[in-house]
Amino acid sequence: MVSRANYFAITLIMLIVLVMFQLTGISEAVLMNTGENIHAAEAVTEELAAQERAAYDSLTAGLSEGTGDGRVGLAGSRENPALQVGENWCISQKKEYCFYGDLSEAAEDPDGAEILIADGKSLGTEDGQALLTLSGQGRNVILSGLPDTGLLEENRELRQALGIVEIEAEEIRTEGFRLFAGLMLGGEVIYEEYPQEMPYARLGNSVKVYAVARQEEAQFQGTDREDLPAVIWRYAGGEGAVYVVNGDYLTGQAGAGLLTGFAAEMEPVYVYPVVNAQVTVVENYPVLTDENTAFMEEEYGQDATAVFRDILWPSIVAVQFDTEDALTVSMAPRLDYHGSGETEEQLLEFYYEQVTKESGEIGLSGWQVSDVPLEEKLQEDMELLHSILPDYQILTFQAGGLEEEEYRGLVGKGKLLEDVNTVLTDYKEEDASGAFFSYLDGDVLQLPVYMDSRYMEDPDDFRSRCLQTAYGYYGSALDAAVVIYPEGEADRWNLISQEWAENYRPYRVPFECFDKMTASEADRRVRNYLAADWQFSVSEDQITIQADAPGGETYYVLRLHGSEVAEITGGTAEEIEEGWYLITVTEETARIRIEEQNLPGYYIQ
Amino acid sequence: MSFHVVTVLWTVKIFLIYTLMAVGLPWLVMGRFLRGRSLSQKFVFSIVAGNFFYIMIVLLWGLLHITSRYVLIAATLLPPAAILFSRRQRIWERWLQPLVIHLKRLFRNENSLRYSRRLLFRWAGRRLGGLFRRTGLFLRHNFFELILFAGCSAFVLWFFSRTEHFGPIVPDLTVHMSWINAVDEGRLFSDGIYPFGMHALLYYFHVVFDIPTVRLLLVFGTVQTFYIFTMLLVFLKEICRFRYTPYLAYLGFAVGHYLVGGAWYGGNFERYYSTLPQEYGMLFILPCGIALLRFFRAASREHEEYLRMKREKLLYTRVGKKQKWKESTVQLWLLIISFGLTLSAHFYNTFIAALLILAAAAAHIRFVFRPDMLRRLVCAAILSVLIPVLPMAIAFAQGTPLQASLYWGLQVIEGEEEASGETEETEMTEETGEPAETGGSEEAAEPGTASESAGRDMSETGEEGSGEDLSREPEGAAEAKLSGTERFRAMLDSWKGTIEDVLEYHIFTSPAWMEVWAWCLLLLLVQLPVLWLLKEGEYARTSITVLLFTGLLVFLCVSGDLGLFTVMDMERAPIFCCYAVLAPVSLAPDGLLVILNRLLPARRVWQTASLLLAALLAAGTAAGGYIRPRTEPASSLERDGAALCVYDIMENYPEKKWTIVSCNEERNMVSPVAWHYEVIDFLDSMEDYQEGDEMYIPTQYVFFFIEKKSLDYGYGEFEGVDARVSEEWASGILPVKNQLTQYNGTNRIILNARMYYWAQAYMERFPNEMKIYYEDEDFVCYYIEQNEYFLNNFAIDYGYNSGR
Repeated sequence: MVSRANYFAITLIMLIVLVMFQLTGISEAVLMNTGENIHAAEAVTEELAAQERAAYDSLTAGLSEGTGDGRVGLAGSRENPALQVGENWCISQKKEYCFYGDLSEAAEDPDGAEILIADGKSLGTEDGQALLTLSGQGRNVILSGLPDTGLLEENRELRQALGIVEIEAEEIRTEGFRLFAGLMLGGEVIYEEYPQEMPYARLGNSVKVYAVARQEEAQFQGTDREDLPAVIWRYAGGEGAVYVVNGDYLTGQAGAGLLTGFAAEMEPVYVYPVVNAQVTVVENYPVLTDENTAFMEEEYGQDATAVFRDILWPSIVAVQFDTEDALTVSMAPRLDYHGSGETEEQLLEFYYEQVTKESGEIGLSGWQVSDVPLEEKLQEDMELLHSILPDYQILTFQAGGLEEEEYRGLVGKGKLLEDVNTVLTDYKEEDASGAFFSYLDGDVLQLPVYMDSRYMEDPDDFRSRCLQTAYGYYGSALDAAVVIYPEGEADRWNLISQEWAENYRPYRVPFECFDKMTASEADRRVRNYLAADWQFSVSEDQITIQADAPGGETYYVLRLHGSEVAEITGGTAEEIEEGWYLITVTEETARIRIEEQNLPGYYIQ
Repeated sequence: MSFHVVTVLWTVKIFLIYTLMAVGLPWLVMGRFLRGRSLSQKFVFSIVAGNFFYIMIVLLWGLLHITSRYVLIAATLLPPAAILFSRRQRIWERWLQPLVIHLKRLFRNENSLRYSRRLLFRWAGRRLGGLFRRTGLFLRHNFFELILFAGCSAFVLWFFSRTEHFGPIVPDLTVHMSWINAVDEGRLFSDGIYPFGMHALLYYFHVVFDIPTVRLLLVFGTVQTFYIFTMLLVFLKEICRFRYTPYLAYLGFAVGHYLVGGAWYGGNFERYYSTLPQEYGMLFILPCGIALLRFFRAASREHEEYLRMKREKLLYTRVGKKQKWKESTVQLWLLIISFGLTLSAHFYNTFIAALLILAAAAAHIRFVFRPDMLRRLVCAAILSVLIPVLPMAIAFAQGTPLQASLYWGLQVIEGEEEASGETEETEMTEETGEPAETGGSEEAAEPGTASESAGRDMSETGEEGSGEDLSREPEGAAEAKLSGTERFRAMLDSWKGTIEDVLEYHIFTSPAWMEVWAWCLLLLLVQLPVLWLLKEGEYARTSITVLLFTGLLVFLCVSGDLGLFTVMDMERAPIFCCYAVLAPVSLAPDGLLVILNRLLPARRVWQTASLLLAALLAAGTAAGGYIRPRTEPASSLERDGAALCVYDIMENYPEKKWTIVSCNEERNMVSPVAWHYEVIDFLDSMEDYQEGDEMYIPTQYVFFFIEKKSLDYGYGEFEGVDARVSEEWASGILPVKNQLTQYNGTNRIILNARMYYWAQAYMERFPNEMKIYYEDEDFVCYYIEQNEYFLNNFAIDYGYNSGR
């Protein structure tokens, strides 16, 4: 027999359990019924966006006329790609910079820039003396590439200034290189398939090598490791040092990572701002129309919408769950606007619910296989969206391979896509003239997506390391449209998902410290990063970071050599890897106390 | 944490390990055998058996090249396991069976848990109660003695512990380290055959307890000294009748400032700071005497008993040899093992032990030549030599040559070479490439300079003192004019003066203490006939033994100065002399009390008198300021900072991943776990610098030990020379590598100065990579972490490598 008291207690507990379960369902239903973009509330406000844009313009305006201590000197032609990379790097790190005609001019200005960036390939006979003078003045020089080997062989002074004992070969072809830990984030790595042609210089003493060439063939067999061809090195013959990149790694956007690494090597303590955001986008997903039906039926036995819903979506969610990535999808209701396929509008509601449950974000893709004008395509897409989800705000526009001119007039306030704050653009490595992050007209921000989630070849990994070191930002995308319109045999979902799964984990582990977020969340971080005015100072064992950012907390990477963070106030510190820390500054001033590592734990009184 | 504290903690740890393993465990294993014996006897048997056992298992397994940790642990556990097995029936019936019965009952619910718990607590209570009761009784009965012993022991441990300086005091310490570490690699006599007792014992602790050899060698000296001193007390307690009289000599030796140095290192007590074979072997000298005296005593009683039984025709009732060893046989085995241990540790100890045996034999001469006694003694002598020599003989048969110093020892025995510790060390150094004691700066080597060692000063003064001059005086021209009696008297006078001088200079701190000691000797001599009259023959023979032994030790010190043969050099003889010379100070008053007790039997009164005497001496020593002042010697071979760095690096960095670049001292300290590079080789690689010179050290971490203020190697601080690194010194010519001359004298300053400026120049080139690891006023340690795949080229033009 159950007593009345027990009966009452059991009933009460059952009721509580029932209510609890119902509440979760009810709250979910309430959330879904709003039909709103859950990230819209957190999106940057108009006022803040304007304020941040103004702050950014103000901060970067005077940088090129730098006269202060610690400014960077760009020696050579302004059009030189390496110098353009240097200029953009200075802007992103809010460093003052100035231009010199050449290194000799810089050497004649002993109170000038502390760091000089120059194109090593254009060095002349007289630059050897200039480099030695700069070294004697305690100034550091970063060189992109080596001058002509004939000149090096003839000019002992130049060789001496670069730390080269002799030129072993005018040109060798290497299969790859070994990048040692310490210069950039990510630790040591061996690139086996990253071929390049470069001169083979044997280095002397006082040299620290950051990367050496790699060759499986007999070319280097029997050569001492210390005599292997160096790809990146530092020669410190005097008070200042010369950093040499024996290759073209400084001529593209990724060069910013090397410049950051070099700058961090020059000081015992180095602090620089980062975005702290990792964005993963599934482009052209979902597609709401059955297209290329014959192929889809043959390949998958189902039409496109069913494949996207029943095959792709579970895979995407599984990867997202496994990587803890925040999901951003850029919807393409149709890919072929001339096609006859009927749009399954009700699927939009399904995807909205699914993506919202995953705390993801739906953006709009500008890509199509047809050739209707972009405005017309977007108009049609927006009408569809508003008919199903009238309250949903599209914050992100996936520009993909579109030229800026094509979408410039369509995004931003008062335009067709007036809610859009963020444009996701394709990455252009070779275009060193533009900034990595840039504003469109008005307050719309362009974020580059520089990785294809399917591929992680050696150059991809190197680029990822460079750009994450420089900006603390990762942008990766997977194009789902190729499932319907394949470009080759490899564009089948089983292969695509396998490649995605193979790549997403191992290469991103070293960078797990950076926050994973949707595109519009990353947009806020980037705006704040660009608008942040910051300074840091070091006194004995204390580092002080003063930050003034309209958008709140800011992020920095702290590079230490032989010491570690002992205590921090006004923020938090997380060790990324040995000697590298991610600092989150939550107040106006953060104070970090550092302690020397590798000191004896004992003392003698 | 303070390195002082760390060193003290290591001392405590090693003290506990040694005590538990070398005294406690044998005591436990031999519990049945030791039952009924006195505390001092238990101590002697345990420590001798323990040391002998560990040394033997290392030597025997070492000859088979199987000296792994598990083999030694298994060998250690074998005797306790065998004993447990042999007593299995008793153990089962007494301990296990009741336990099994109780457990069975508990599991069958025949006994409740409450009842079982009550049984357990009752049993534990009984045991604990018994233990507390016994402890209380022990404390009550030994209260004053415990105070005396604890006070003296605390003083000895404090006095000889390494709390202020941390480097090796004597140079051959690192040689011993390398020999011990070589056993790790399966090479038992790595540098040739040598008495390996101490090395074997330390290797045992190194392997079984995973203690770095360098730690053991630097700290074990304190532990062994405590036991050496305690053994003296045990010996005194063996020869004295009254409880507190032994503390007269023990206090005088261990605590009082009555005995002084004169030995090479500046004191008869200074070598005790170091873990040296000679000092380790001293632990087993006095057990020889104890065993022999007890042997004679036991043999005499057994003989009397045999005669009595024979007379009474009761011989058939005797217990057979197989059932029970006779006490004399037990004591004879103690003698054999103790004597063997002295031989396995250091030849000098054997010599002193032989003197003690000779003294005891002379005192018991009427027993010695009894045929059965003589047979037993001869057999014991053969065994005591054979046992320690056997492992060495096997190794020799296997083709291992003798170590260089043994050749020297053999030459001394053959009389081909002067007995000189200096010669021994030099030869050892040549063989091993280790630092020589004699190595020093040019300035230091010049006579009359301030840096000349105190030891040599004293030796010279000693020579001038009187001995030879006085002994030779009668041989002058006036000699012929003197009659035979006068000449004999003159010679006696001369000898007396020489002995007084030597004793005043090498043994006693003041003539007053020597007089007291001489009076004690006289009193002891006077007592002898009285003791005989009172039929205290046994006691009288013990007194004669002590008198003769003391005489022989004094003779050992003075023989050279008397113009006779020199048996032992004056750097070492006074150490042994001091160790036992005060025995008459205990025995004389003790004998007096024995006589008084026979005349007026009131043992308690005389016991109290002995306590008063000890208390008076203790109070007088303390109040009069006669406590030996503590001056812990600093290392003349390595800066304290370097010792700290070696310890810290060994503790915190992975094995085989680091290299120390230093002059030489650290080489053997780190050899088992890491690498060492000589400063001279390092600098030589970039001398006459040219582009393309290379100097690579293939380990991840490299530490550079640089003395900012160089030591005068082997002597201590430079005097009259500014030994700080300077451009002037760095500009000096790089010394040529020749054994250790490059590290001696001012050569060392040049090397350190050059290394210092090299480090400055390299640090400028690698500011983020090369760091200061440790720095104090006199020493700095730099370190660099290298990319092992692409090593740093350390060869640079640092401004002073412009050529010789």
